[in-house]
Amino acid sequence: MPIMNLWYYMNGYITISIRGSRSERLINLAINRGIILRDIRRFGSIAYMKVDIDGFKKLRPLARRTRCKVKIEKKAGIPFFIYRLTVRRGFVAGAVFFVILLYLLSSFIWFVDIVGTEEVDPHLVSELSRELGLKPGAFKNTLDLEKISNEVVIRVPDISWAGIEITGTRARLEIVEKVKGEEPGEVGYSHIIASKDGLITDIMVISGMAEVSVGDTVTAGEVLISGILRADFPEVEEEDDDSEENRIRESYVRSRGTVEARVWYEGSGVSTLLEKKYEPTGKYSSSSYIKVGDKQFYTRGDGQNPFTYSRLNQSRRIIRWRNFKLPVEIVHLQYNELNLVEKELTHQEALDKAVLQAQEEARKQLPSQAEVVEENVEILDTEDEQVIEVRYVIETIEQIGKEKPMVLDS
Amino acid sequence: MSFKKKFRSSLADVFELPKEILLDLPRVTLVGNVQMYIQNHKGVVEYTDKVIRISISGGELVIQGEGLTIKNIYSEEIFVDGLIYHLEYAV
Repeated sequence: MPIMNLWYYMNGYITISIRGSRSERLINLAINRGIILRDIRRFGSIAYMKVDIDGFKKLRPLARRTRCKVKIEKKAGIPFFIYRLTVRRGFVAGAVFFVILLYLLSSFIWFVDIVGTEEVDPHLVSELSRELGLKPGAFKNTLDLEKISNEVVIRVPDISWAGIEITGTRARLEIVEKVKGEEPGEVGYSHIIASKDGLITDIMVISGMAEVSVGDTVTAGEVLISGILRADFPEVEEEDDDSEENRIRESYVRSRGTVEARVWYEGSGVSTLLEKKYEPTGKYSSSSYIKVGDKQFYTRGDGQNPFTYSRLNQSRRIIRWRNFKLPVEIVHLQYNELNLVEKELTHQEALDKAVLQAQEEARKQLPSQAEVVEENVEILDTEDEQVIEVRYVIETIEQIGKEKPMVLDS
Repeated sequence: MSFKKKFRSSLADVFELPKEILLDLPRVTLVGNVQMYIQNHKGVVEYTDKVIRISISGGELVIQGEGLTIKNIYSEEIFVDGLIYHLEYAV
């Protein structure tokens, strides 16, 4: 019973030894007086037992009466421990001093880490934080962390955020630098070009100069909005032919704007009045073989195709054991016989089929967000009566402007 | 047995009352042969690590064994620890 032992330890107990043949009488007397005795053991004429401090005081007169010699063997428990501590004062003072010292030392900052510097010089930040009071040896409780971090942000222009986190004796000053925007330079200039062929229906320029106007047909790659601005003063240009001056009058921008155009997508379809079709007859010839490495061992059939028209179904099974693949495969072959069926179509049926085919082809090219304006079917003339050819045209209006960076010399 | 005890014994039988209370008998609990718990004893007569004799109403309870220890002793209860070989009521 560890819990009981803990209780006894807290209250303190004495192990005593009793010499004398009448120790039974002493025990009986003791329990009648309410003295609690534990762990009574006897070796020859000596009995050992444990008794609490109050019980021991009561036991003394009884021992005298029964003429037993009571001797203290061991004192254990917190009351005796405390007594011993009061005797050794220097030791206690040292322990208390140690605890206080530990507490004091842990309430100072001993290390300052600066995290997050990339462009900013970390020495500059550490210099600044030292100036603001965040330095080794500073008293933790007196630091106004919010004020220091605010001050760091204000003093260093390239820092957008600073935060201080104290863990133990280590202060961690984390800073976040400002992300610099892209500097305007030659890289930023651009044209807007056509991403596909089309007929311009609408053009809106935000910056730059329009090179095309509504109604123009453009091809893919053509410049729609130019990023080069030319001052258009014909009279000045006549007077002054200096090329250097001309270049100064040119300025560059990143052109922005939207260009809408009609775009066509075409698909074609062909069909004949006489349609050839293969249909399975239901007959088949199957064979299977075991493949070991490159060699094949037929277990059924010979793998030859007996039919003129056929479709081959092949299924293979790889023998594996757990993750280990054996180099052995079982392959089943099945040739299904097909029959060529010629079918006469009416003109309308053949046309429908061709249109469907063409429509599908045109739709495939259509971008997802294009706005369809018109769909047209055009039947093409063919010399052969049996052959019908159609063209399917889908007309859409979509944005064709695409930004293209301009490469400038010098 | 006196008339009083006979009366009490029959009373305990009729009303199914615990006999250790009405007849002042000890209640002995044994855990295997390693632990013993005696309630309602009258004191220790003799004890060594081989023999413990406990006074009970109307006689003695003799415990024989090896390494016997009185773990706890109160005015009504005794806990005995150790290997118990032999238990005898000496009336």
